[in-house]
Amino acid sequence: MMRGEYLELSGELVDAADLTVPKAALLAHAVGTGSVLWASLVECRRVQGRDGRPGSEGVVIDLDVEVPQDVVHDIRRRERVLVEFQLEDIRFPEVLALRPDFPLVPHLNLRLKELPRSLCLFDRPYDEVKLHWTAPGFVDRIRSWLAATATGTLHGADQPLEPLLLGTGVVLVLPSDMFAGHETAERDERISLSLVRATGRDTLFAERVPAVAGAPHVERVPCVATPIDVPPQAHGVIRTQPTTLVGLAAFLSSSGVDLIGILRERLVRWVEDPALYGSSLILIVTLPKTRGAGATVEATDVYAFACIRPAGQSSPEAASVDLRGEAPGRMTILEIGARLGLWEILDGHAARLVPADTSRDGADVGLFLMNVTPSLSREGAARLNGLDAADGRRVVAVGAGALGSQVFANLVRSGFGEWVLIDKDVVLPHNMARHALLGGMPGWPKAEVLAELGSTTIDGQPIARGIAADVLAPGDRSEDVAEAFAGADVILDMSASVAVARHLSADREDEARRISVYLSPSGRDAVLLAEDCHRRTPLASLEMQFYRMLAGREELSDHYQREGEPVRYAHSCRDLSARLPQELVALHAAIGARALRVALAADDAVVALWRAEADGSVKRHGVTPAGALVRRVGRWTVVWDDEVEREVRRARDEKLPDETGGVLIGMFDMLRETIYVADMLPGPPDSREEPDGYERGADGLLDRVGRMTAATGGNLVYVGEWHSHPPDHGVRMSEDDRKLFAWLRDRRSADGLPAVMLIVGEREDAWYVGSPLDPEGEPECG
Amino acid sequence: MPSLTFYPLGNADTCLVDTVNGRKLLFDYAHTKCAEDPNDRRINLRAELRSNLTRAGRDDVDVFALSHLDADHFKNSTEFFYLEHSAEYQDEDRIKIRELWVPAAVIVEEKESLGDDNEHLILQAEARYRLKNKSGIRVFSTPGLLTDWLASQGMTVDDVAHLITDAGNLVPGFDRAVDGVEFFVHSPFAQRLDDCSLVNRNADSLVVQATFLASGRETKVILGADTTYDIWEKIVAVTTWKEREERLEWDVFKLSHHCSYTSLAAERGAEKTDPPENVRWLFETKGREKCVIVSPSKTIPNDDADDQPPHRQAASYYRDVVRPKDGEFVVTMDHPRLSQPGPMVIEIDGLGARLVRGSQGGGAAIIGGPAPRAGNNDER
Repeated sequence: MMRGEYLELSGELVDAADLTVPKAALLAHAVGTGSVLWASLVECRRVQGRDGRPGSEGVVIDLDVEVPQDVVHDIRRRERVLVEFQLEDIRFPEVLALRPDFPLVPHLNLRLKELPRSLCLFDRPYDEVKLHWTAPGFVDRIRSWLAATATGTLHGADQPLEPLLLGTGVVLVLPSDMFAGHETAERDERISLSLVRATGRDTLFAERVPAVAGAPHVERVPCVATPIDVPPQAHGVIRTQPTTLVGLAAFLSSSGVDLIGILRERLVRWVEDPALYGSSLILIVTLPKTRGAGATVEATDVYAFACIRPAGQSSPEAASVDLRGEAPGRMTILEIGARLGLWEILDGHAARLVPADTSRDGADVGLFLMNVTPSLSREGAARLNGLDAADGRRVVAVGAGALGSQVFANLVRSGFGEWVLIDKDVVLPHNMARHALLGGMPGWPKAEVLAELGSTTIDGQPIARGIAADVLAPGDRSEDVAEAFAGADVILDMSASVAVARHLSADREDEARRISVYLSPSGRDAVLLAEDCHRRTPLASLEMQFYRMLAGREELSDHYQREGEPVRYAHSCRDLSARLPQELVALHAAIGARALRVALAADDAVVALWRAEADGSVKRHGVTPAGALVRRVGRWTVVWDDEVEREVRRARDEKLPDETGGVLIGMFDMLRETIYVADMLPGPPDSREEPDGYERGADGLLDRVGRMTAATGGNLVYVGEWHSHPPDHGVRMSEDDRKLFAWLRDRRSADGLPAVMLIVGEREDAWYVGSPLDPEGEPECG
Repeated sequence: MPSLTFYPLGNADTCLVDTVNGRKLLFDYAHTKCAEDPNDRRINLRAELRSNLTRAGRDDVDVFALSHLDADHFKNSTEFFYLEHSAEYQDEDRIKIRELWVPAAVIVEEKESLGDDNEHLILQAEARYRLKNKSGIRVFSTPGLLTDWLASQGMTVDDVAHLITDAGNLVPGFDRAVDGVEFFVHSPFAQRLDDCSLVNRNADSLVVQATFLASGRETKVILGADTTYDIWEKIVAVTTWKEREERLEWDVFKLSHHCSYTSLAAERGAEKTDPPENVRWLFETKGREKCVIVSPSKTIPNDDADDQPPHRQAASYYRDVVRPKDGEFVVTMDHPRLSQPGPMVIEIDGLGARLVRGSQGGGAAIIGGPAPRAGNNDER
């Protein structure tokens, strides 16, 4: 192309060798010597700084771009760019396309002038880019930006377009629904703002954005933000950074929006409230963008402009603007109305002009561009966590202690769940050693303060609410608790209490899937027990299967072992008021949160344990859960599972035609008159097995059961006897069986426990339970 | 992805065509590099192609198309390929040819006109052997031209009719739906005489238009052998007369005869060659937006000191052809850089043809090839 076909540049021409900005010199040298492929040096320039400010140096290069024949955006096979370097290496070198008809494409920086267009090359801060900056790499980045823009692939297809602005000092945080890609509901015409001021950086928050009351540095500023909605369009209408109200109005009028008219209407209403006289005004312009005419909205650009004194009185290029009190650049609603010809200011009051002086069009109202960012929505949080979508499952979590609070924090920050937290405790100083909450809230109910923090983290309807209650004795919160459980999709037990877990599993009729997450006493192991989605195997059965895994694997026999003595005393085997490092709680909270999400994404039940090894590795141990079997035996309930059933049948079949037998291992729940059978043991070697009878021996049996009891923290104990009957003998008790049962019952009554006996026949089996309350009565059979 | 690969060979031709379903066609093969000369910038074609095939897990090509019997189109090919007609050319590491494409002239040319170059004779022997065996060959011709030679072998045209493709037809064995590409034959074609007999040949080289189809987008490539301007005029005339102008459209044009003016016009021209109307129409009207012209040649000179191509006046014409189309005129010996030319890859997808301009930076540029010798032999 001829030189005249490119935009004119200012500044003096200099030799590449005379450049003084190091990166400019590096670029000019690399390109000028031909060592960079597909780039050639055109010229170098220097611009003197004005008003004693530092100047800049520019390097003009031609780039050969990998452009296919059919393009989405009109990028040419050769493009000329100016790379402009500031003397101080604190901002990105600006890359400006010098072709006058360079198209309006995504990922341009918004500048005060439309041309030359400014390429937005990086999505990382310059401080990070600087670490790896090389001249050839920079040229490569510009070329690949151009190539991807040509094919319309610079955006990943699933990424929303973000508004791209040259950074200004003030950040404005708006509710996430203002960025939604669809028609939003009616908005208030006034949005109240709070200002957080810290070390020279101001951040404004819309009132609807949750914030914790009493947080530091927050002050209410006299400030009104008002939304201006522009109809959807295929391309952005704001092509340069407007510096005055009339300039912005000109852009918006092309989309049929009468900005000045809208403002006049609103200002006339607002001025009736003298309290608003002194407020600053911020315009929030939302521009939904479609791909092609009539298409659905793909993205919404949101711009915010503070009204200030125009250039000359206050520089629009200023890095920041002060919207408070007597700040010099600030312009009040009273002044803005006067400059739009609505009224005269007399003695500090508005004297209405009727009709309005429409010759006053806002040319003397300056605009200051603010950085707008959405508050964190559920979907936004999910996306930032690398998830496809937020998960709106209703979770009732019982227990907001060390592990529970941290699992909750992990999940809520990924937009997971709509939560009710139930915990009876208040925050005490010793909690802070291992709780998601940091200091500053002693005496607050854990559930409520944690829910509040979750809800202030995520924009929109509160994502969590807390109920300060004991789930076993909720008292005056009974109705709240019952209502929460009734509406739950998932009931999550993080109580570290067997009593609570058992209550949730066995006592409550609610349909929600139950999941239990807890730590071993040492904190080395995390355990996850998750019911299948149809609740065929209840939590209590999964607990038994977990104990069976512990008892059956030598390397897990120290699951219940503590590291050192507890600090105070132990309430239960899952009590956490012991010495265990926060690192392990955080590690397992992370594992637990992910395991929970994975478990809920599938239909199957889960029994798994994660062990943090001393070398920092984590190993998962798990079993494929068996289906639960439940038998009603008189007033007693026997719970066992397919695996136990399979084992006794296998043992029986192996010994046919002889009878065989052994003992049953499990747990008694005397409260619920339930007998859990977790495992079976075959007969010891000194047993006598004959076609018409069986005598169980005792060789090594006590030791073996003792080891199982120890490995399961005392949870699994001896429960009863089992033996087989040969074919054609049914499962009714023989005379010998009755004598055996009487012997068993006699001994059990001393323990206050029921006698339990299982007879396994050819196709059927029978459970016999003898209650300790009625030693002479007939055994219950089922 | 379907692609064309050209190689820096000086004034010589080789083009590798990769199809979407993994088939490989080699149009001409000229290993021209002088191994003893460290300043020879031409690529080691033998090694380059070998490594390309190895990466693809291949020890053969689907097609080797020999456009005509000039050395700059077949140099050292008899050292590279496995030839079926003689055990002498059947070492294990030679590359096999599934199908050999030749114009009829390769079969029928008299020994006297072939000259002394042994490679001519070897390639002719290979083509004749395959045709006699009726296997692994396609001959481009009007069938009548082969009658005499076939008779001398005790065969008739009918015996081998399925192995012969006349101009104006698609080459059998390639289907745009399956292979994503089809080949239309422009030359060799028969001169239509007053009595309509099909005898005199006026050209002997193989010229095809390849049409690639990807995501509904057709990308057309003309591989121009060494055709002279008068033949181009006739190709344009006969194709328009047959109302098949779309067969002359192009997105990529492999220039004839290394950017020689003789492929454009009778006269070189002072600063720019001025082609006759038919040839002008072929380049200026039938070339499409953002097209690519590939000159398989040395760097374009600044003066007329050398009579041999490339000619700066022809290059000047081609540059003017591509400029209004935002197209490109690229020279194999200059790509990607004059000091260090390498393979020139043009990828073809739903957006058309795209000259690949990846960065050559990073460790790949260093560890992609062997390093110079390190050592302590200073005493030597």
